[in-house]
Amino acid sequence: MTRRSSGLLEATLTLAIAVAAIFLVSGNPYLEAVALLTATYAFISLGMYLPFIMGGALSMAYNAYLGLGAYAMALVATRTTWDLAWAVPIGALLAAAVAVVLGMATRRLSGFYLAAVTLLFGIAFSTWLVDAEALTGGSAGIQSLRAPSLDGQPVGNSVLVAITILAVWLVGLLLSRLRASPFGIVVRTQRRAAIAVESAGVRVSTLSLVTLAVGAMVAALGGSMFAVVNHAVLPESFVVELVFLTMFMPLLGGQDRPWGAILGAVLVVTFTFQLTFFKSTGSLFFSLAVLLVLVAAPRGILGYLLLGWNRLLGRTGGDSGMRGPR
Amino acid sequence: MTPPILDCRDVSKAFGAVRAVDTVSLTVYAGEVLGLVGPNGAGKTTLVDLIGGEQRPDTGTIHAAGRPLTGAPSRRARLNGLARTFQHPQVALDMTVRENMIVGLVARSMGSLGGMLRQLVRGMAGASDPGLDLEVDRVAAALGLEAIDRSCMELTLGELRLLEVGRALLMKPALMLLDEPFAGSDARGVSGIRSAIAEILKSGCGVILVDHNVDIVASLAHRIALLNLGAKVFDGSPRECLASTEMQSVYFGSDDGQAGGAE
Repeated sequence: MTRRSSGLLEATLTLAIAVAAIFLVSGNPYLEAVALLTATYAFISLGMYLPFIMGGALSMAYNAYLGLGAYAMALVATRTTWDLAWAVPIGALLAAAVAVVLGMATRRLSGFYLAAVTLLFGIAFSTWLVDAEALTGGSAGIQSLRAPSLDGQPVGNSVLVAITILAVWLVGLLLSRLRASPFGIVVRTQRRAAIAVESAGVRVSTLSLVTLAVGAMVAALGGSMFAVVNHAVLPESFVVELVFLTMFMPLLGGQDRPWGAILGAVLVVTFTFQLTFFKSTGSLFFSLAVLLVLVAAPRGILGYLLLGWNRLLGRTGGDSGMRGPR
Repeated sequence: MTPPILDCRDVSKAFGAVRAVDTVSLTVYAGEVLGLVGPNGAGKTTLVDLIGGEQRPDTGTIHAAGRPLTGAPSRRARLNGLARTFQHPQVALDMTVRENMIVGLVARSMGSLGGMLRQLVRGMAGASDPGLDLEVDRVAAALGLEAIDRSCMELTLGELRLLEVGRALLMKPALMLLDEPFAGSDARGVSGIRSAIAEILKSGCGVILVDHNVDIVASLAHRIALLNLGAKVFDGSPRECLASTEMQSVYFGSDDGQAGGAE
């Protein structure tokens, strides 16, 4: 199978799953709410995929990027008469700018220290959301966001959820293409052999900033969709615990492809919020599941499905036998 | 006479009280292999790091193709036509041989923020360039690297070194710094590196070949510079170098029984 036909198959198959999910939840407000929550987690997880899973830069400020997207949408919806579509690039660019500034301030840090400093920023951001009452509405947040409209008619929630699911699919597809592209190859190589990449002519610190900015934009997109569908934003939706839950999603779903991050989000929401049996112990169950996957199946669930598929086709390559985040 | 590709003048580097490189001057011309030999601790790798931009010299100047390179970061060295391999191979082991080699081909296009963003957009758009794969296939075949879609975890040390040479070759450099490419290589690896050097010279590139194995270096180099305790003690043809009293003194001990180097 050629690379082009393999890419087409991937796009078609994943689009079919996204469309099936839309049909499954459409018209049922409860399932739509579950789908929105899953999509929001998926956006954060996808946002972390490029800088963290591919590039190895563990920033913990994704609750802030999600919040920037959401509050940009809320402020545009309540304080301007602009088309709500403008809130998406505004939130994304704001998040990217914050990610770049934070990345520059922490450029000499890596590993635990980078995680610790960005975590502190994430905590400071959620505190600021409560404190900056004049702008953010404080602990009451911002309510009654107007619905987006098309030709003067308000767009219903079912359509918005469908758009959100399709947006998750599109981001997953773009990241999947990026991963296999020369850009993705250089990002993944610098994770393990930064000296070689630097001496080949790439400024690794700038590359890291670019990946952090793209990741922040993806998370902000999730925040914007979350706000517009809920018609409200609350500071408690953007606490740093979100990030702890999200960073393990690709480990559970599979790190080899961005789709693993989405699968991880689906599993986490299902086990943590949906199944009655796990409702009170969801987080504990999730922790144990991640531990089990890391020990017994380090490639994640999707990784093993892909391995089986490749074996079926008689392929070998770099995707075989690897361990740990890549 | 054509100017040298590399011109180092009185380059020094000290770590505390230890003078790792002591007022060394070197020139390398296009199509020339300069062998850099010396015992452990002679300063070979430090000198290569100074030229490659991994370290800054304390004193002295380095020019590549007439352009100043003294103390410039390794990226600048690359932009001035220098490519290098490392004493300890710098390879992403969890990726394929092809992927590691492609870095050499595309890194230059990502040398600026604009270039990175262009590659980012091209990557997301799914733009493919079959020419990249063909070029990697060609260089891998020239080096004798087989099955390049396998994981680097399956490679021997010799093959990892060949991969690094291949990656450097794909950068189409004017000067290649090969840091101990034969260390740990089996017969196939040695043969591959020899082919690689022949391939490099075909393109008019210069080579600095650093290795402990004086016999292999002498068989490949046009000129040899012998380092000892950070200083250059001999610079001449391989035949002259092997016969020199400096070589005898450094490797077999001087008249008073003192062997040079830190071995």
